[in-house]
Amino acid sequence: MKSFFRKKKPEAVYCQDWRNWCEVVLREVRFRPDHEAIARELMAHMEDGRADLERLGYDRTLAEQRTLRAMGDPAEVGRALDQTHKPWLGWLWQATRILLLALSLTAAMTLFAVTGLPELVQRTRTELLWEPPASAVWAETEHAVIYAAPGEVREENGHITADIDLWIKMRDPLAAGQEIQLWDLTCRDNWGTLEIRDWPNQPESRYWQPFGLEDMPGGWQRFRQGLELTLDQPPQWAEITYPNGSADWKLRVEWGEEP
Amino acid sequence: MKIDKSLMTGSTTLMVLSLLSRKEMYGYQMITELARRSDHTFELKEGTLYPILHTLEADGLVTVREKEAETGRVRKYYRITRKGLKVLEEKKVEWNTFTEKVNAVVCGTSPA
Repeated sequence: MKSFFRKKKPEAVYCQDWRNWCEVVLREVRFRPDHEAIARELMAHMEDGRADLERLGYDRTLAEQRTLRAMGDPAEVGRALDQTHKPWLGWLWQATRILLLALSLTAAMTLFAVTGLPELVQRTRTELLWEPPASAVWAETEHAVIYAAPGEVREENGHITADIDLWIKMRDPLAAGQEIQLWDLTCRDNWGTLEIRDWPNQPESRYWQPFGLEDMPGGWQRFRQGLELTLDQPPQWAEITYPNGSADWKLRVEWGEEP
Repeated sequence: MKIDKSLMTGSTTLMVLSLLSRKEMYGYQMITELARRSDHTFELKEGTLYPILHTLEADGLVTVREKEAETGRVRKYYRITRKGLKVLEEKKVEWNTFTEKVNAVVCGTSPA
């Protein structure tokens, strides 16, 4: 009972007579876990009654007294409530809920252990992370499909850093010479040629794939990769080119006017 | 005219179920509706409504959901169940038989 009044918002101040009335009701109800819900409902009822009387022009004190008088004998109400909120029934219900919860948890843990669900969860997460956005540009060669999308642009130590996100899908197995050697990529933005500063693929990077190259159905493998560019000014676009004889590809990602 | 409290005992459940068969309601709303419909003849002590409602809920005749009013007050709304509707029909028949027999005795009318 006390906890119910403590939890109420400060503006919901009840008069002492209401509290006393409720306390007498609850004294008769033996199943304590239901006390709070009962008190809340009875108080809401009295608030409704008071509001109605205030609308009719009663001042607050008189409205509270009239409301309380209309509620009847608290001990009688409490004894009647106790007939429904029986302790043994209440505890049985509580015990059943705890038991069901424990059973559900056990079943879930067993399912995890037996079916390797953690790996499935991780793979699903990777799957979602891997999905290129609809706005990504892409190039296709005989042995690979490469998607690229503009990433974050930020200012760091007086320089501009821009990310390009890559999603690469390759045939599996690849013959010698068909692999994509990412360090052969060149990059140019609208301000001129630039150097690729970093290839973030470490565990702390968002491109990190715990399973490395992943097998896909139909004889494919895939992986994600980031390109970190260091620039003097925010780019409007950047072009990445992969020179590979007949299998050249070029992709242009655009950040727009104000990245 | 006020009615003897003992006469109301037993019919309150019937009246509450009957109110709820029209729409879902919260406690205070039921009290005011009951007073209005009976032209203020049935003004039961408001606190006594809740044991009745909680018993109906425990018996599966009504369900409850909490809803926040515009004023921010959280109210419990009661709604009659299919089982509740069935019991209401039974109680109506019982009540009609009862009043008919009482009238037969008190007013000297012959029962149908």
